[in-house]
Amino acid sequence: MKQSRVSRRDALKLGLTATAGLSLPKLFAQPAFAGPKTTPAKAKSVIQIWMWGGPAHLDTFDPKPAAGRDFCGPLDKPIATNVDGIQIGQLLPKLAKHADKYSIIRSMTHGVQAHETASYITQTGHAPGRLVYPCAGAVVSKFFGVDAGYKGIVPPYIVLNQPQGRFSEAGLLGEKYKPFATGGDPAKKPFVVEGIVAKGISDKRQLSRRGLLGALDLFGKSNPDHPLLKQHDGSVAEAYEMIFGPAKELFDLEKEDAKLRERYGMNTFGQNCLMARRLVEKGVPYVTINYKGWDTHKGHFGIMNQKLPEMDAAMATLLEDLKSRGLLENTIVWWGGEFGRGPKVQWKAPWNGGRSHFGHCFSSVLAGGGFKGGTVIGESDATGSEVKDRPVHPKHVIASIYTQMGIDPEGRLPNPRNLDLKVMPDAQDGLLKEIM
Amino acid sequence: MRQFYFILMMLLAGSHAFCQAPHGGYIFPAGIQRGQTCLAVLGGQALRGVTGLHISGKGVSARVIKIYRPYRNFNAVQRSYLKQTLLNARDKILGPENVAKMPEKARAGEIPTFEEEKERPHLAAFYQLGTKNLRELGHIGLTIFADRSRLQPNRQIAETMLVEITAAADAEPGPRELRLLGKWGFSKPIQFQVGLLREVNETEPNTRAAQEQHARFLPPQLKLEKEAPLALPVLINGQILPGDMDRFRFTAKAGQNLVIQVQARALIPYLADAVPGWFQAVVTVFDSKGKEVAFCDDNRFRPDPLLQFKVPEDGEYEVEIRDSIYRGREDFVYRMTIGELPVLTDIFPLGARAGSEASVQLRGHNLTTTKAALNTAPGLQSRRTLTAANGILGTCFYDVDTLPEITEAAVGPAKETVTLPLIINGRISHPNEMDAFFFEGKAGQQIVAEVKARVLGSPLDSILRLRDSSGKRIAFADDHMEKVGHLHKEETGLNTHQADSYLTASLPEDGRYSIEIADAQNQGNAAYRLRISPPQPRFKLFVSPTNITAAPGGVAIITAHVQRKDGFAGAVKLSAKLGSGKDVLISCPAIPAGWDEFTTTIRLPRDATRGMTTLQVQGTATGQDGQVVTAAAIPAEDRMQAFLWRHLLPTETLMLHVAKRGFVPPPIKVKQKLPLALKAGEAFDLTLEASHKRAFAQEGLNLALHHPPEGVTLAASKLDGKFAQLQIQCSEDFSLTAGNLIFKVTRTFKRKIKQTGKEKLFTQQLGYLPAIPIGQQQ
Repeated sequence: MKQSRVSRRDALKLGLTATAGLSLPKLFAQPAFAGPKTTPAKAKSVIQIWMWGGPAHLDTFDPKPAAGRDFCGPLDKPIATNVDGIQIGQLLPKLAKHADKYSIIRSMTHGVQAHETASYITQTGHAPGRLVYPCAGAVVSKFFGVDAGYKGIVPPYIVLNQPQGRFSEAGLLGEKYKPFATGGDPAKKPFVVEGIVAKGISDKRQLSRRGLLGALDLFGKSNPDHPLLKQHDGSVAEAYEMIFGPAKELFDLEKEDAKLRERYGMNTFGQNCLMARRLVEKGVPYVTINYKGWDTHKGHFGIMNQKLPEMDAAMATLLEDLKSRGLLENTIVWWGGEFGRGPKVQWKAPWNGGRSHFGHCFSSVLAGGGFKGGTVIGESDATGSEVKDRPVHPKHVIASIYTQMGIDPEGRLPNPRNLDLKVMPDAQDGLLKEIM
Repeated sequence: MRQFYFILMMLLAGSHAFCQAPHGGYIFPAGIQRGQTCLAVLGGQALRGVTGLHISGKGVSARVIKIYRPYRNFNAVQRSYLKQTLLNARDKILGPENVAKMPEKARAGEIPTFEEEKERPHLAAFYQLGTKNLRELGHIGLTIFADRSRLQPNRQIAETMLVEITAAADAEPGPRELRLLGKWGFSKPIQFQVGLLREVNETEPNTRAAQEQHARFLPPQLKLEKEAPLALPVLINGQILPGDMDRFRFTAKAGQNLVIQVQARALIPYLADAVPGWFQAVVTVFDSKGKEVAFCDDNRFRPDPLLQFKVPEDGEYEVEIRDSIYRGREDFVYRMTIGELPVLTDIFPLGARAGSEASVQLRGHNLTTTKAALNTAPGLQSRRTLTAANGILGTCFYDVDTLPEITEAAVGPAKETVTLPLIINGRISHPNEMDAFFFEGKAGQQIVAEVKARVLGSPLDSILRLRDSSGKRIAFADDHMEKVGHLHKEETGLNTHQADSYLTASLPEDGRYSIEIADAQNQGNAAYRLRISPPQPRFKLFVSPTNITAAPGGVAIITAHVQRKDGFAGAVKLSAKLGSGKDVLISCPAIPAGWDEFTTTIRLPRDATRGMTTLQVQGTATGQDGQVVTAAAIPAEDRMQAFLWRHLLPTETLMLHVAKRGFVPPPIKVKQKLPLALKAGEAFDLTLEASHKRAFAQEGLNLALHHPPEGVTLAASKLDGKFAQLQIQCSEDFSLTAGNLIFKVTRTFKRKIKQTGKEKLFTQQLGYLPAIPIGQQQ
């Protein structure tokens, strides 16, 4: 009996797809905008490279070679970039050649050392409080997504590959604005996208499953007029359209030039960067790449030696690729994590050369979408332990991104509870005007 | 001659500082019955230089049998050696007859040989392999070779050491501090216990699932023998590895009042790299049908379970212990006591006045005595441990103070009029109960109300309210955190919820006031000690680390933490003595007024006797009334919990190793006037002149500031002959008027790497120069 092969997991997958806000359109289109407008929009899309766990600012974009071994470890020879006066970490030689395309904020701060709270602050711009605010991706999805007539072939807010959970979600905006997380690994063949591309399952078999699901849907049949079920049925139908429609092609990285794929790096992060470029090329307004592995409490420098070259190649190629396709002008690339890492290396057991969480001072990087490159904003002290000049809080970065996208940070944030909320209030004084 | 001595010391220091002091992560078993000898495995890091063990107290000795490198570093041939050795041991037990029945591929193969003996791999588990039974061999095999091994590599406990420990028949029972002595220093303490009961060590596998896995290691015709139920009372030493659940069978009779006491967090209070930051043990008791009959996951507010179990019927029972979220690693060790044993759970009252004759009521399970006398001798630490009679499990704490005291007589809400100053020994007996104490106050009078409950082991989560005669609330207090940044300075070092309340207020007018005390959690059944008094400015002092190594004449760093009470803000002067009574020089001995943390240096006497000794530090301050107050510093380790929070964990002693060799700086003269007058936004030229003309001449020698005050950096340094010319730069917002500068001495040199043949630059930490005071000149 083939019927027995339909797993609960598959049914759940479809259910989740439906609840993830996939009211799927039928046509390709550029994103529209439905929000409080500000100056003309310079950016249409955001690629957020989320350095999950918190990257070490001293080993990436804020090197401190004079601070000595206790702070730099073996990474004490920063390299010059193609912009006079800007040096970055020695394991980022490819990015050093593109410093004119991005700006570095070396004075990020929020003072929080715990992942959860720091992630919430850096993703939403708000301090924790009574209300749960949406992250930047959900806000962009709100203003550029289906409410604004977005007709992209995939949902307007995509996460590659694993969702962060409650810290990258829609908060008080509601389920509809949550991201669609692809799952899978683009470096593998095929790139198994949750609910879209399944390994070892033919299209025919997938369709037969759909028929079976309908046959088993006794609850739905007994409540045909229930509005929630109607919405669910519609979403399932659209999800199937995505599965067998052009979205499947969009996620097929085999269609890319093999040499370009290699330049990005045949690893998860590299291929995610390539995937992100394909998505913004098709008009997806917000793509987050959740790049794991930066919570380097132990054996930090060994991990840096492995991961930074991978990040360097992928991110440099992404900037180059976006630029060559004319996409960088209207695509913001935002690099950063929930915090930086402790400037002072923890040499003793159990850390054995690790770096702790550090929210007092860390770095972020912004490129494209109207942000000028080749600039350093703010300054940290001699050891990267304190902000010395021009403190920048997450809300300033997020408000600046919104502004570049044409969303007025002081405008109203529509919400289901009809609360009187602003998009990103109290951030005007810290907007990154130096690079806008 | 002395000058040569310095240079010589500088060179000799090389090997000293280049290598790490050993680190001990755990010991299994974590204790021993007195009168016995046991083999224990100690996991840690940098063990290769370990020369011996130091165990506090009398009657316990230990010797190192062998040190093993991390298993994961073995190559394929070495792994094959281990496997075949293990299979050969198994086949010896099975006998040729059984082995012949096994398929060819399941039989032991040839044990690989090694050209060089140093290539031969060793594991602690293989020690005396021939004495192990099939069950033990099976478990060793599974642990090492099973592809489903979920053991995470943890470098800080990856090296192991086999030690033999002997406890004399008259060894005092209780916790001991075990330290690893190395060539280059010694470790922080790990806890090892001496007990009175018969002890057994768990033999894996002791879960059903693991036994099924284990069966794969045996020929199909053989089955594991079923172990006999344990005879009670017994103490089981165990270790929980990932997903591990240890089960032990025992027989019991109906009506027995069994107690199952687990010590897990008590052994290793904090793990820096785990969440939760300790082994969170839970215990469950099953009857012979597998039905759960009792469960426990804590003991009041303490994480270690204490389960009291009234046996419902005669029969066989099984107790299971595991981590609450099924974690596991080598340092998840426990000691579980099972039996119809006396356990002390709490006492009342929680303290007494210094110098008085006092006793307390004892409460617990299976106790045959209900009273115990307190030691109220003045002059010791105010928080003291009640030493119950031998054989009684559990520890209680009490407080000794100099103020007058009363003890709440009634069980139930108290409403008493009192005269200040006073300490009230009371209890919240029932949920929602509130005790109130009335007193006459004057306008402008400062009063303090302080609760001591959690700090003495009581579960009370107190709240305090101060009301005036009309019932209007004037002040309220809940949890009082003794914390600076992420560092908790709670006196026990173990309470992560500092629930005791502290209230201070200025009374608005003459009249009758009341202090109310209640339980924020509405639980009741909890004692307290409530002080209501004018402010009594005082301080407690903690000092860390508790493992200092220096050569005679050498310099070491100590950090003092001051817990200031009742508005005490004055300076505290430190002094220190060796165990022999010899004075130790502290370079900048005064903790500036208002400072909570202060790091400075000590310099050992040149004639200090080599070997292990204690260091006693004390602080002296002058109170507002001009009275000189002295407090002995409590040695404490700065331990991290779950990646973030830190705790000052008191230890029995601050141990000092007077090493044979090490960095000994020469006498150094500061050419500028002391204390150094550093000013905001300015550079300060500092010149150090050593007594030896080539003191700073050594190639690659560097000076760097150790934990400089905020806003202070070393802008430039020039080391030349006997002089060190240093430029200290102060930021615009530098504002300190007291403190010190400590210079770390390092040496940078090139060394050829054997494997690559390339030269690599190394930086070697030699030691420290004595601290130099900064501040306002007189």
